[in-house]
Amino acid sequence: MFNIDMEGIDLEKTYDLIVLGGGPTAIGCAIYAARFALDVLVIGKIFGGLIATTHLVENYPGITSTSGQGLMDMFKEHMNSLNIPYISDEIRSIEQTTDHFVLHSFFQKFKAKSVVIATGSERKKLGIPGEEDFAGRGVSYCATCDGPFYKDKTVCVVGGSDSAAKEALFLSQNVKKVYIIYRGEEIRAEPINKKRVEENHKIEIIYRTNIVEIKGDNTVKSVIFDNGTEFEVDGVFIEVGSIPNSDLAKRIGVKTNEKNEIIINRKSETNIPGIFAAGDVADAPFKQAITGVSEGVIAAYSSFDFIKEMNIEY
Amino acid sequence: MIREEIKKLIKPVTLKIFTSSKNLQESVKMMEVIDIYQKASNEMLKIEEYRFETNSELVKKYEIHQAPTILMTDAKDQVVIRYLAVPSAAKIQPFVQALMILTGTPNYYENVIRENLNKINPTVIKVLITDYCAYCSTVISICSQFALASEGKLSTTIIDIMAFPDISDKYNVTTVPTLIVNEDKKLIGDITAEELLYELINKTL
Repeated sequence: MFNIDMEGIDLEKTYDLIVLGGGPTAIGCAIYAARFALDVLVIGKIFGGLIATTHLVENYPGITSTSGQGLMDMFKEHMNSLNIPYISDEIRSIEQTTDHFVLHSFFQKFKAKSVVIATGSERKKLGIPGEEDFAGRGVSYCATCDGPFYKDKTVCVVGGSDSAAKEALFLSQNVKKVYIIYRGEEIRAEPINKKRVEENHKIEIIYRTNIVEIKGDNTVKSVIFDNGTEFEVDGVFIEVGSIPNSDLAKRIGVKTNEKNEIIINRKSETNIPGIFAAGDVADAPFKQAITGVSEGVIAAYSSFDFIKEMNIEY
Repeated sequence: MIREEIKKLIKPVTLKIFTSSKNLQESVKMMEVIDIYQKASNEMLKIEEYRFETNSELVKKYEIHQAPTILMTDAKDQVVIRYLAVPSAAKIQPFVQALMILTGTPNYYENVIRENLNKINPTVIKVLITDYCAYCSTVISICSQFALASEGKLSTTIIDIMAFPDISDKYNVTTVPTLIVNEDKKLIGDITAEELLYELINKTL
């Protein structure tokens, strides 16, 4: 893991499959590929994916309750048990030859007969004044990572999704008060988390409100609402959804939809033979770790089929 | 996981560790964890423990300002990596990886770092982390490999800001990982190897 066994990574060979990504989709895909006896390599920008920043996972079958990082530690252990090599790097371009793909990063190049793009998504930003200036000085996109810095302070979570509710619940363990700032009429959390939020005396929801500016000096001091009110907070946790990491796919001609998600079929195939996609970067309407893993597993099987049909010995 | 990882070490390597009676709790914790590494290492991991208070010459030589501190040194006895952090939890894999590279395992970034060495100024990279930070492990790994490939031009210091809150206060940290490059530039979040290299050679992506 983390390029630890470079002797196990052969830069000259043509891998059966290179999986791009470091989250559950990519690792689930790699585990199945290894069990199909494919020669597989995983290249991820950061190991763990977005789920690693989630403090509570309670809907992954077989695991009653764990943290996102805890879940990924289990994935890592499973991956290590199959000796699947992992490299921390980012692929910048892919070129297609007659019988394989060449993947280029800034540091190395790799060859593969098939590729699964499981590059996930990244947190959407609000795009308001002060957000960038105060990043790391009171503006955060990860409550699990940064929440403990706000002990006994007042913070707000921007957004109304299940993730936003879970961020607020996590933060409430340490902070004095959490305000959920949501533009809608009712938060869209899973019922169990919505109930937890409603019963938590440290959490208060401010509906029908947008933040238009973040202000402070050395650190965040307040936010400005769209009704003109200045509201004092010490930290702003932004949880307003995510955008798919599909730039690489688009550069090589993989078709995407209007949301920039890669269009895949039931076999996780894209429009380019030999290139598959799965997880948050793809166009499924419901995105969860478990659905990503499912698509990743299907992509592994489709890759297995693809190579078999190429009549290439592996 | 410590026992599993350290078994990968197949050549001997020595760590210098400075402990302190002033920070006894953290020093004891660090030595307990190091003991697990050492016992599981098939005698590949050697430890030299020094008291911060009674080894002023070495403290000066290695520029130790706080303890407990673990030093990884190169063949010229230059400090390449410092750990002001107990190498447990998410730090285990990058810690063992650095030990392995010190003993000759290939370094993924070595070629590109060597090609760019003349563009890199001597730099100290401080990596401010916590145990519960999802992406810290990858960032520690990148910074450590850069330092190990840099022929002494770069050094990396990994600091657990929960163990050293004064350092957290000094840099006003509210996000992990945070990188402090030469006491000057602050980089936050899940920075990639490519972004860090560009930062070191003063280029933009």
